[in-house]
Amino acid sequence: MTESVLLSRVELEDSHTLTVYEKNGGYEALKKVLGKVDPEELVEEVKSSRLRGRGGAGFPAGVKWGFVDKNSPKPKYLACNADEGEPGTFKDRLLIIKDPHQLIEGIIISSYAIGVATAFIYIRGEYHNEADILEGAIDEAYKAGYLGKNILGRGFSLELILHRGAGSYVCGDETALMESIEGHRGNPRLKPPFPAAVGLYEGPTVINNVETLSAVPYIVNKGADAYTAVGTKESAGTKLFCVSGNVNKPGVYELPLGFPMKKLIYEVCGGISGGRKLKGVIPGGSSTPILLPEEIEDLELAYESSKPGGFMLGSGAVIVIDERWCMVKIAARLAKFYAHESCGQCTPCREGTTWTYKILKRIEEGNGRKGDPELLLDIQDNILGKTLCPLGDAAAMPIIAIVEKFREEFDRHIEEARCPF
Amino acid sequence: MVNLTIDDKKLTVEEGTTILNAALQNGIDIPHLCYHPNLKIRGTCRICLVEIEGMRKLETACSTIVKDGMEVHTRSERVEKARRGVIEFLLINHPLNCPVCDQAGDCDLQRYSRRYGREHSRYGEDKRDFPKHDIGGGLIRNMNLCIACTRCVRFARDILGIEEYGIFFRGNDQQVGIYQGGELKNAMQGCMVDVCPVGALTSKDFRFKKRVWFLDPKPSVCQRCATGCNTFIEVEDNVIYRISPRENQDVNDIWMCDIGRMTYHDMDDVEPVTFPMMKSGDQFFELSWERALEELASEIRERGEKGGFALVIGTGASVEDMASALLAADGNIGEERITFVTRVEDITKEKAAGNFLISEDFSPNTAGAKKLGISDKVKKIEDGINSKDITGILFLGCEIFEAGLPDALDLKKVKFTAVITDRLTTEIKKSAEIVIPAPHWSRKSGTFINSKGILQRIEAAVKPQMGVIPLTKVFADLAAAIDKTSADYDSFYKEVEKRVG
Ligand SMILES: Cc1cc2nc3c(=O)[nH]c(=O)nc-3n(C[C@H](O)[C@H](O)[C@H](O)COP(=O)(O)O)c2cc1C
Ligand code: SF4
Ligand code: SF4
Ligand code: SF4
Ligand code: FES
Repeated sequence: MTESVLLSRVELEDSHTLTVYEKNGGYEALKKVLGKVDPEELVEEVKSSRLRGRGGAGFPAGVKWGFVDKNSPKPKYLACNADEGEPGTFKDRLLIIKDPHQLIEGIIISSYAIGVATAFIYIRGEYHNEADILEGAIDEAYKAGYLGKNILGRGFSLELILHRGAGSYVCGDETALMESIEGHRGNPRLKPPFPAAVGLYEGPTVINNVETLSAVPYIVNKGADAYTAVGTKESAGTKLFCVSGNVNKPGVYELPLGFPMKKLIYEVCGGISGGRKLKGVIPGGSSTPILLPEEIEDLELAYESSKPGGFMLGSGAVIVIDERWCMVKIAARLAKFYAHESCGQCTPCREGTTWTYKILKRIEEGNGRKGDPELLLDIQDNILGKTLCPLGDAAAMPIIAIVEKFREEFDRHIEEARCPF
Repeated sequence: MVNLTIDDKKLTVEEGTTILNAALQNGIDIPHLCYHPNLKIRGTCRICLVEIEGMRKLETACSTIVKDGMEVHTRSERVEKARRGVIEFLLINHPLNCPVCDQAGDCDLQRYSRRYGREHSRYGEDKRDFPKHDIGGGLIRNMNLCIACTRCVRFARDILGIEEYGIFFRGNDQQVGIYQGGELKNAMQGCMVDVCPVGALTSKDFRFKKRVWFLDPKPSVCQRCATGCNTFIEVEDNVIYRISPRENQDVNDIWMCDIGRMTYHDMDDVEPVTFPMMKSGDQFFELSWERALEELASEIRERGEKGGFALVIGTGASVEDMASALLAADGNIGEERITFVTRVEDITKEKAAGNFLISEDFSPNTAGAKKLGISDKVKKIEDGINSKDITGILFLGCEIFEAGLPDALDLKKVKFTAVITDRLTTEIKKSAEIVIPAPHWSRKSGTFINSKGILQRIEAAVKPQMGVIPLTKVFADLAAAIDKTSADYDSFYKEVEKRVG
């Protein structure tokens, strides 16, 4: 297997401590570049590493950094997105628990590259333990002079603030996240302006996922070439995949991008539990449309394989579903989540998600009506692409896929007036 | 300037204009609900979605800035389907009880439902029912009608800068309001009702009093303070049902305060004056206009000769009223015997409650008095009363009495007092020998100059009451009575106009 970019220290005892981190190459990248390499050169290096955002959308990190106006009269900010709200996703917490200093080092280097003096980590409210570990690591970094004024005596200063969320999925959206940091209700903001132009406290802001920023020290240490040596042409490097559901060995795996989905399920994860048949795979977190077994046949886990409505790499959360499961029930469960998490400010999402959930619940309980599947699809069409933030799409896409791909299960529920499973 | 086409219509608009405004300016209607011209743009209702060539998704017209060469479609099938979708979403939980809703006829949702709604609902689930929660203040909140446009919240937060009112809960459970046990305290609650596009917020003062389509909105100006907010006095059959703000970017934008809004109740519990009266003992008895003015004229003539008569002008007088009073006083009441009484109030409390409009000068025409050269000479009048030089006073306007006479003016020392007023108050009953009717502010025309020096002309919103005549005519007759000639209205009005300028 290829060299580990992100998880090289996770097996070490006390890997979360500064001592262990420093002993194993920690903060070397920072020492190498801080005050020595021109920030713009660093941005170029990350651009040529072709590192893409790991939060879900896969936007090239270096390009995003490049959008920030270097001469902005307003302070610039970096916010690390540690909200990890996408159901099925549990990779960022591993990076936080096992290697918080790798993330902190990535944040310092990125801040230096972008010209940021204040950075935030926005961590989801449910991550108590993770927040404690990060808090401890941040304290250590301050004490050791990696954070605060005049870092390493090289004239660069950075304040890093850990901000805890209050339990809301939508706060993982970059604009809602900023609202939340500013102390407002976590409603997504209208775009444009984009955060790189007008973000936190109206200053230009870069938001990157934990995994994205954790890859930065490696890229700086080993160079962009080493990073692009792994992965595919459009998807450089490795990615963390969180596999859950009916596999023998669920967990977080670091794999080169372009890795075959089948191999991930059947080899890396030891196949379907109990030797049962595969029914479907949710490939990239709950917002991505479900795939049928035949659709994963030659599927490579890479950004370029993604297409709207089809396979989406998303956050890399692979949920494996075996033959025993009722797809109406799964759809209802997903719909309940999105209805509960809709911030409620825009009409199609607020009303559409709740209506969708009510219908699905009714069908699952045996009270389905003729025409319900068509109605469900039409409601999703009235949500899709019409909401203020992408949560609406995230809610609609999986429902469309399930209704279309498992239509006969819906019809059986309605005809038999009960759940046949 | 930017060139674009909307629905094949070529338009040129100013740079920075939104698609919605570009359309509205050119007579193209794009439905909008959360958008309000005076509030921050939030783009949340999604009914204004339009199709733009080259853009994959539909975009909100209210928030998208026009670009040169942009081609916008507001009537394509895609757009219409999206609109029907939004309306359907908004209506699934809406009771649609327009016949018994106070907002009917003035409701954006009702209007758009007719255009984009389905005949039969596809929604077969239970409608949501919000618990009742009285938020106090002057409005009634019915969350079951709310479409979550947040206009009211944006008004309270962004315009008033008051944090008492906000959004609670999330998603479909979302509610607007105030924390449990709290009570709405801001002084601009009427504006929250105004901005609400549906019947979710209604005014306790107005609701269920009148269907809006019966009301005739007469343009007017609030006369409660020197700000001079532009208003509509809404009447049916000469009865005022409410006062609402009228847009004027230079004065009040599109807002007005609750104090101003409620001024039309000022005659609710008072005795109106509709004919001249004279006191005999403790009682007032009616007398004819001729007699009343003759009595008053002779008092002015006799006492005025020795400089013993004063004219005190109160807050409600228009520039014309004052000019004609001056004209009548000419040669009879000396300049040092004429004063204007401003009414200055402490408005700290009002400001704290978010009343960003109200002026501490509670007279709507201080600037008008100044323009005519009438200044505050209360001190001189006081001296005159104390030295017994002044033995008679004519008051123009009753507000002076309502607010409490300036302490200095001890009317017990004055032998003769006359008041021109629209109402009989206890104070007036106590002090006045002669009472002359004046038209109520809603029933008269005239010019007022606000604190910014903006001249505003008002027409009567309500017909005058029988027997009450305009003050310019009263003073023309009074002038003639003093000079013992017959009134020459034409030359009197010409002279008044000359002074008004
Ligand atoms: C509803 C919603 C939830 C999201 N949740 C997360 C999240 O939990 N973590 C995350 O990194 N990105 C999340 N995102 C994506 C972020 O908006 C943003 O694109 C990302 O943090 C950018 O980082 P990246 O470029 O490094 O991927 C979410 C987006 C939406 C619309
Ligand atoms: S799509 Fe949903 S979550 Fe996003 S802004 Fe609209 S209501 Fe809020
Ligand atoms: S109460 Fe009215 S103004 Fe306020 S959010 Fe609801 S519909 Fe909009
Ligand atoms: S601010 Fe003054 S003029 Fe405006 S409505 Fe209030 S009282 Fe009337
Ligand atoms: S009017 Fe544009 S989204 Fe509401």
